[in-house]
Amino acid sequence: MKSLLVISRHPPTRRQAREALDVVLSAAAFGVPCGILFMDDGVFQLLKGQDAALIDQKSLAANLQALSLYGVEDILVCQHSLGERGLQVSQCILDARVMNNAELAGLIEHYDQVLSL
Amino acid sequence: MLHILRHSPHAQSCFASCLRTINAGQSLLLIEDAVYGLFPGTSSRSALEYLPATVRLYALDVDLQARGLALDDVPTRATIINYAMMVELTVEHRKVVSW
Repeated sequence: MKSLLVISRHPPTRRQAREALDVVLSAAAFGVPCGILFMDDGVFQLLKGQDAALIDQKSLAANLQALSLYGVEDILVCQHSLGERGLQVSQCILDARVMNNAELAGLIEHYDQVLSL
Repeated sequence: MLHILRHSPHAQSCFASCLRTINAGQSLLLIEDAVYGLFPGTSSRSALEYLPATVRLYALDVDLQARGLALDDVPTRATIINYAMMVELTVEHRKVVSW
């Protein structure tokens, strides 16, 4: 089966953030080998200490925790995007692998299909 | 004049455009994803801190907390406000620009 990489580039308040997670979780549920890369403002989804209820939104935390339960193999975060936003990988709620630019190029080559949301 | 900024500094050009057009003596309120501009160690935070001293800077409390920014980490020149105070600000200012 073809592998799928989803690139999640939106902050947690945007619907695209939830949609990217839905796509990758659905694909994983059907046995597609898949990964998710948090990039640009998407890295904000991983930040600890968020309280979405204060702005009447649902937290993404449960969907994020489900990634490993559903067998999503690669949970990745862009090093450049973290740095630009003053964030460290230690502030992330998931055990995401940090990728530098060279590794990202290789990663996108490695996957059969790449979907950027 | 009150400028209300609501987009992330990284995703949209309106953050930079707003900072370019703001004048001394005006007010700037950060809401929604614009509060990401206050995260420590970012160029957007430096840009906000270097605004003329007469620019009054405000940020909405729930938007900060919802996005995981501790209120203690907000720069001292920014005043943290709630929804009721936001309404007061919009009434106090003769003109409001929403970016």
